[in-house]
Amino acid sequence: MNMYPHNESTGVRGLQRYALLLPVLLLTIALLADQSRLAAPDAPPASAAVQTIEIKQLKFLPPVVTVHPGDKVQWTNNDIVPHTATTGDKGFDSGSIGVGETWTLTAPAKKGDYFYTCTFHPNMKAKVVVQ
Amino acid sequence: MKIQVIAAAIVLVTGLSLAPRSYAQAPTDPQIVGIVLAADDIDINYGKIALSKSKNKDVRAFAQQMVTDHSAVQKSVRDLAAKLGVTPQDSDTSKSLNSKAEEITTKLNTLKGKAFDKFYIDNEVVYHKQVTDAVAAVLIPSAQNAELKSALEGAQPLFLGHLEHSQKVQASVEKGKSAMTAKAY
Repeated sequence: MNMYPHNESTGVRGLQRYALLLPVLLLTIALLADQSRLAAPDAPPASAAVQTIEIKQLKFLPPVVTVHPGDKVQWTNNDIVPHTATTGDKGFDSGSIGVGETWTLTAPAKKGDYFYTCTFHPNMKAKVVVQ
Repeated sequence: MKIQVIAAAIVLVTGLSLAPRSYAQAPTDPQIVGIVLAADDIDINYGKIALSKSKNKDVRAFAQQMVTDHSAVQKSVRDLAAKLGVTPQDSDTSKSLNSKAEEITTKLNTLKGKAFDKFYIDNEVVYHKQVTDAVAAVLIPSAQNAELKSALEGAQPLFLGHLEHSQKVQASVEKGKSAMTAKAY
């Protein structure tokens, strides 16, 4: 008669559990390693960030964003008509951003206030501050 | 002052009114869809006439925008109506809109040059004022279906934007020089 049937049984089951967990653990490590390897070459510099702007109901939301040179600024058109994000002579021009589309700008190196509008709807006004 | 007088005169002459008082009773959802489609159609047609006749840069840009935007609104309204199973229905309001639009269209077809630009943009200011007033005071409160109500609320800023845009073009036509080419800020 086994004096410690419970303990012995638990020990075996514990090993079995570890044996089952091991592949999961290895897979997790492998995935994490793979992810960091894939992300490394194309990842933006540590300081770069992505600022999103929603276009909705004839408004740029938020109307003012502040970014650093090299940051990404993304406009997504959630309105019912096409829009643009366009500055004056020097700056940027998205061209037509269709309904449901996104346009991404890499913030220019030159610091300053970039006032922009929608060329289709001149009453839409907003600003990107590069600092 | 002069602009208001002209705008008032157009209202009086055309009798074009979407004002709430013109509704004997609240329009039904199919009638609301019918009114919105008719109103869009009318402005698209005005815009097409302006594109074929006007040489004014600001007027042409505005007219093109009206064609583009109201076509987009029409499509989204048609899509929503189809999704909701609502069949657009004529009403006294949509019929009245169409009959007044015929008068305006006739007038637009007879005018040329600056007189055309002026009549077109003055009418656009009045038309968008009436449309935005009617959407806020009648169409949104009357809409029974929540999605239709929400779509009307979502489109209202666009119509208000058109009103503001038309007023700027009106001012530039009055002055005889472009105000729209100035810097946005």
